[in-house]
Amino acid sequence: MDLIWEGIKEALRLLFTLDREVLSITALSLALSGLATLASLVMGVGLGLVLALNRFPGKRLVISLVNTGMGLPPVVVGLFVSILLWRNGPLGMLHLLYTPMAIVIAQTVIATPIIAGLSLAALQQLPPDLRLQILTLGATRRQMVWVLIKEARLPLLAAVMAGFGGVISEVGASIMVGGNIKGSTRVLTTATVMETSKGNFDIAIALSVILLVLAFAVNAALTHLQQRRRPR
Amino acid sequence: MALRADFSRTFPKGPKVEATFEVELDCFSITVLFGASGCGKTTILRCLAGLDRPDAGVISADGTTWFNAPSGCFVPPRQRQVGYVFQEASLFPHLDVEGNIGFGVRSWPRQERQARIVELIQMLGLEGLERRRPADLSGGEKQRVALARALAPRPRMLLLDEPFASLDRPAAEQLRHGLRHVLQALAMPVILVTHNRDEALSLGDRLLLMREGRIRQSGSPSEVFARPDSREAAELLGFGTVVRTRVERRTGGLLGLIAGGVELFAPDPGGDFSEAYACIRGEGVSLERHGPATVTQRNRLAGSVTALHAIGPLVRVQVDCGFPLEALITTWACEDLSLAIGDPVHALIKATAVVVIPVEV
Repeated sequence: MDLIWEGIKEALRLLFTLDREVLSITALSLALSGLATLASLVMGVGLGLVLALNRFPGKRLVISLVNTGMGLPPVVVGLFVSILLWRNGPLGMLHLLYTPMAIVIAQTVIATPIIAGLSLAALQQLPPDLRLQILTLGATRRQMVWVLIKEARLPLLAAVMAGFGGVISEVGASIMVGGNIKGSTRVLTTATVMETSKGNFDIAIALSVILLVLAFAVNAALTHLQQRRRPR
Repeated sequence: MALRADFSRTFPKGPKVEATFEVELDCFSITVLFGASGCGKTTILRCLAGLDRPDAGVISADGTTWFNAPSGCFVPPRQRQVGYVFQEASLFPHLDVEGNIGFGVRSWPRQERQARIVELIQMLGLEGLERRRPADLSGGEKQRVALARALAPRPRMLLLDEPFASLDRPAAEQLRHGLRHVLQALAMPVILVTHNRDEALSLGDRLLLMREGRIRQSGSPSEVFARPDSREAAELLGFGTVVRTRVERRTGGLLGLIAGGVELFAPDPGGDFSEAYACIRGEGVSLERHGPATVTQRNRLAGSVTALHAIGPLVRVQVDCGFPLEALITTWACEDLSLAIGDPVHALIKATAVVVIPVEV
């Protein structure tokens, strides 16, 4: 019990004195997961749009693949990205393994199906005639797609939240492709795992609190955005 | 100045929809596409608007080609200047009434745009609702907003796909009355898709009767309703009794037709045929229990009541008089005669109320 209490006290001290190392780990986590979410946003919403607006053979299969992908275990993603980036692997010449970029790639693979699946659901919830209606009102196809995105923006925001929440909190892929290298690929989750195994509960708790606050802050910001737009 | 359509759209593993017709542009007229659900009415409308692509044929307006299958020409919806109102209003949920109406004119200069919105709000009686969201509108209001939105960019033609189908009866009737008024003032041609007989009769200037993907008959609504030219058309147009008969004799401009062992008199449409369908509207049949035997109606058939169905203020009575006959009478009359299943009655039908459609051999 003392251990935990001491840990919490130390954690608070680390937080309030803005410990350099803790800060840099936090910044790196935010940057990598943010980048991965951004990439997933573009690809995920794009894929969602393609699936929602087109009819083609095999569409059902693609949709079930996307839905399966929403629950991809990060460790599995980590494994496959590692194999790809391995020195002797197909993308080995890029020398990306154990770099921050490797984490971004792995997290993008995790978040893209989440955002794609939720975007598809969001777009399919729009009235079916809306698309045709927009076209009859003088819109080009590009403008039509833009209006649809605007119409579905609230559920699309939720998709982004889910994507970010998924990658900021995953540890399996980051540790496998990043390697938890200090100052380079050490992020909040991998650092927490390491400090816990080393018995440094104070730092581990401090990192966890930051992780929670971070997740809360980002979601609160997005929620605020959602709520602000409703009454105009 | 006309819209000419002559095209077909085949659905994979599905029906083929064909359409050949013309609609005058630059003047007010309502063309009704009438037919049962699923007969291809909406497909025709969508092909005209450019929302669906036919497989063969041509569509042109004022000599400008909109679609031409051989040359692969296809003008996108935005260049066709056609207004379209869907069955469910499909308003933009995040925009208020003004925003919805202004959507099609969003590229206009601000002042013109605002003036156009105000004009349409007045035209369709939407004053006071400017700031409402679609979720806070009644079904009738939604459809009026959808109509205003479709009219805002000053289309050359308006396509209405069952615009009253989702409304309750009073709301639909109110909108129907207003609609003719508004569109007449705009001198705009309209194509209206419906499966509702009242709507077709009360709104249409011209009626195209559709069945199984094809336009089977056209003319003024009253003409088509009075003179269907096929058994299927008669059934679609609400003739409660359609019975196959044999021509027994021709006398004094009348035909004597035998159906189920009884003779039915009907006006002779001329021509040489030995079998014909006799079509009778329920409204054209009177019932009596025991009255004078000498009446003006040429057909006085004895039978018995087999079924009674209340529909609003009316009762649909099925009578077996050698063949199944349907009569549509008021609830009041039904009570007066205290009709019950099994009761013997006489059915009176004017000869002129019987439409004869020769059976083609």
